[in-house]
Amino acid sequence: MKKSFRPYLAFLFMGSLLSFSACKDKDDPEPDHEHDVVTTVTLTLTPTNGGQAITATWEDLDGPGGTAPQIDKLVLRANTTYTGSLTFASEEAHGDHTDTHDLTADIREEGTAHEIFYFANPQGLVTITKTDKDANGRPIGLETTAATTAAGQGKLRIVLKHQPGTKSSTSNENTGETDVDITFDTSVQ
Amino acid sequence: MMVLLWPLLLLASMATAQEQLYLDGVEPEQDCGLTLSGKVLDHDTREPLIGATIYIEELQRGTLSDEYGNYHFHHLCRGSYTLQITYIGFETERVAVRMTTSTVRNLTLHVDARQLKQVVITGERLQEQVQATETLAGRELEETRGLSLGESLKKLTGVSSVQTGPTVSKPVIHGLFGNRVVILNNGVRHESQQWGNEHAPEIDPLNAQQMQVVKGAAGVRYGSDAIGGIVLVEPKALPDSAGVRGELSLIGSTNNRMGTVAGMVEGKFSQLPLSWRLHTSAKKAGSAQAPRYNLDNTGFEEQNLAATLGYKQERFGAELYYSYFHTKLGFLSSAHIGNLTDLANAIGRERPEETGSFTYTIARPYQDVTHHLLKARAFYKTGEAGELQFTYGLQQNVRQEYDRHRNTGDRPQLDLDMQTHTTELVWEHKPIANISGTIGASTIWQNNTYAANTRPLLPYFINTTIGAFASERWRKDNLQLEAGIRYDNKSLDIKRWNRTEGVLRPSYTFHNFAGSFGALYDLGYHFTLSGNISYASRAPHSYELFANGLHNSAASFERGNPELVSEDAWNTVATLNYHSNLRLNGELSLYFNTINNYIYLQIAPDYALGIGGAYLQADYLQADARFWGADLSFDYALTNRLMLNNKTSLVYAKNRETDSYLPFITPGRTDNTLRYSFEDRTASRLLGSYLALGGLYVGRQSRSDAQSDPVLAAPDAYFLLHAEAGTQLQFGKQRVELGLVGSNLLNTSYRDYQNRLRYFADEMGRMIMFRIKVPL
Repeated sequence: MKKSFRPYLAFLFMGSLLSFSACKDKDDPEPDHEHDVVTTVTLTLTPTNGGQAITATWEDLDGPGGTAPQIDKLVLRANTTYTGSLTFASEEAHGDHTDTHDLTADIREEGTAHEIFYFANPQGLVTITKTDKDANGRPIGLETTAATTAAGQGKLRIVLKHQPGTKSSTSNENTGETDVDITFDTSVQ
Repeated sequence: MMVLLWPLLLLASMATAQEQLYLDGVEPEQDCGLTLSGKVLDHDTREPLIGATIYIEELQRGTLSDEYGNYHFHHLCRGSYTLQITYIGFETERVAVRMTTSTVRNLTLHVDARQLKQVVITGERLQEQVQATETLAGRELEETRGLSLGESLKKLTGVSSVQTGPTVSKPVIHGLFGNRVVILNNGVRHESQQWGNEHAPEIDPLNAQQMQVVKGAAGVRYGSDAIGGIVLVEPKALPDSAGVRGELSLIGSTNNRMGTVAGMVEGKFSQLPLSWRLHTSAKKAGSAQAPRYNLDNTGFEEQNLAATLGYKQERFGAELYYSYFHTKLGFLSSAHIGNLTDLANAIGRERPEETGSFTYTIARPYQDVTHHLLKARAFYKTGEAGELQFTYGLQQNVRQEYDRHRNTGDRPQLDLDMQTHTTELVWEHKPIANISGTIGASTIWQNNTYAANTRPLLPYFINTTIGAFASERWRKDNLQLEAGIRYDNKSLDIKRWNRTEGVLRPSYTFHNFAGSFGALYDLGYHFTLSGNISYASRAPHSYELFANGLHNSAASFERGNPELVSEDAWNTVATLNYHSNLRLNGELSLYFNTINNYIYLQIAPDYALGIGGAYLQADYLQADARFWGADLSFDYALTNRLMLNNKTSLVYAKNRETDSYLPFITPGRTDNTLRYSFEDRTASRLLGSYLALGGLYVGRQSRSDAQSDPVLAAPDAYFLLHAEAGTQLQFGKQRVELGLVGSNLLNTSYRDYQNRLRYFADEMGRMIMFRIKVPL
């Protein structure tokens, strides 16, 4: 009698565990988002001789794959010099609203481990010169001047490299880890 | 109450026999053809004991008593031997035998009333098994002290590892790994994030006294998902004699300058049927060194604690066990890359971009993993019929991965938390008409979550599995038959956030069966032939269904496939064992494994585009596959002291649908070792000294091509030289065990196909590991 009763006791124990565990199924995942992943890059170009500032945004809220990114076209005037500034942000859509976390300040703060590279194709379509410096006197590339000459069509590629410990006088766009590698269709009119 | 009595030694008659022999004038050098035989008997009932282990310590030779209790050793030389006789439920006896002529010696054992039931299970497995098994214990296990679990198991034939750099190693059995290999840690299914190739099992191998690997589909006993096999990590049984004992181990190594301290205290109360043990270990290592450069940021540290309390009466016993595991593992800094261009740059480089210099500091990227296990176990002997066992396990696994990003403070980028409750109720019944076996039921309840604002690589999920099994064994004369069946019902409730649709709740129910049928036939004194056909079925893991994220170390964007179905395997193994011979002993095992709906990660030819540029895209695919191969291991005694040992394993795998190669399959390997055992001199302080030198050859994975490995072709074959030495020092009553293990002695630069970081850096160079163990 006692012998055969014991397994039932044990099964009861197992059963109670299951029901106890099942009650815990309440929490739902928060909207998924990593605050450190760049989703949005904005290039702002202000003509030095006054006039309307131009902004171009490259945005991919759902990361690689999925929905295609939204990419603005960059339209510049010929024979003009601009003051450029580049910002990076991590944005997330929460259904009814969007939260934005600016990452530009972090990159500036860790300037000795970051560098931005600009490549115009064809070369000379727009000439970009980095004007900001990190603590070691090396360029960062968040602040620039951009100069155009003749009208033309092409592309501007912007690459943000994370180069912890490897940024040096010889480092280049092949050094380190790529955080951002984007291209704007560019037109100089 | 029986008092301890030595078995009948008949020393007096032995002495007489010896004298007679000398009188007969037999030349000593021709006396290597002696036979020692007899019966192993229960001292009280005088009944023969079937399957008792008789081990000659000096020769490291063992045998089992047959169904009549008979045992025999052939080709013994003249001399003194110590026999160790072990049998489940009986006290182990050591008997000295002086052989001058062929001798018949009956051995009697006493019932051990205090024997822990846990030992019974282990002992049963120690008997010859229908399924191919390998055991790592004793000297071989000691030689792995200081290595991780995955690296330790590589000592076994047919077992290799999937690595991520020098710090992460996962066991691979016959080419299968991850969720297909079920790991039992002290009798509880180890539940952690084993889907990840860079996630090593969270188990302290220093706490294990034995590790056993069951090769091939073995889903009946512990879960139908064990398509690849089972790893059983067993700590030492609790002490059964009163008193307090301890042990201190120190392990150190060159190369990564690893230091390990491990300590153990155990005891048993003399008045109460209570015994206990406390085991702790701490490990710290700096960055590993490849022959030509430092492997930057590959240091690691690990802390472990295990506590056991056991209560044991004749009919009832219980055990409470808690273990804590924590590790912090650095990742090769240059393997953390952004996009495909970075990957191409990394592959193009002669050496990693950042080599740095030796340091113990662990910087980003690194992993921080904590695993808790609480186990409660009880048994109750149901009279003559058998024994009931109940096991409950609670596990929590917290995995945090810290990527190398900008100013992220102390926050991890991946932060997974998984809780698992497991229960198991088993009835082991005693033979009824030659049939003995185990019937049981088990449950798993598992909840996985991740911290807010971290990478949603794996969704929230709740896994509820309920299973039942029966496994029976029939034994008569030379034949043993085994059959088992299992059913698991697994429901998987997933919660994932979708940007446009909010929380989605896909849910799945899987019905998984497992079965096995095996036979073992004793072909006489030296041959056993065994064969086994088994079926196992594994439900896809949540990661395989819903993976969605970037894997920085491979520049790959991994995507799950919600349409996956269970994979099922039909596995046939045939094993021929040639044993109890003077010179040559060995085992050959052939296997053929047909896996339908085999789930694998395939790098796709097209890219995923993101803000960081182009990434490789890796998708979970399913195909009918076939794995086949062979394991060979043998010992050849060149002389009494010099032994050649060979371990060879071959794995072949094909996608049956496209007749193409599968990625990431183990290349063929062979390891040959020459071991010299020194004679123990009576006056010497040294005991059991040995020296060994060996070489491991791993072939190139020629069964790979641009389709299976589009990023980089398989690396070249390599050869590594290794050496081992060990001894026991006796200082009065104090014994000290010393050991030395050297690996990659020629400091060879090489890359391994199954190391995920083979794109980026060479493997570790020469390493000498030394260990001291002091029993207190």
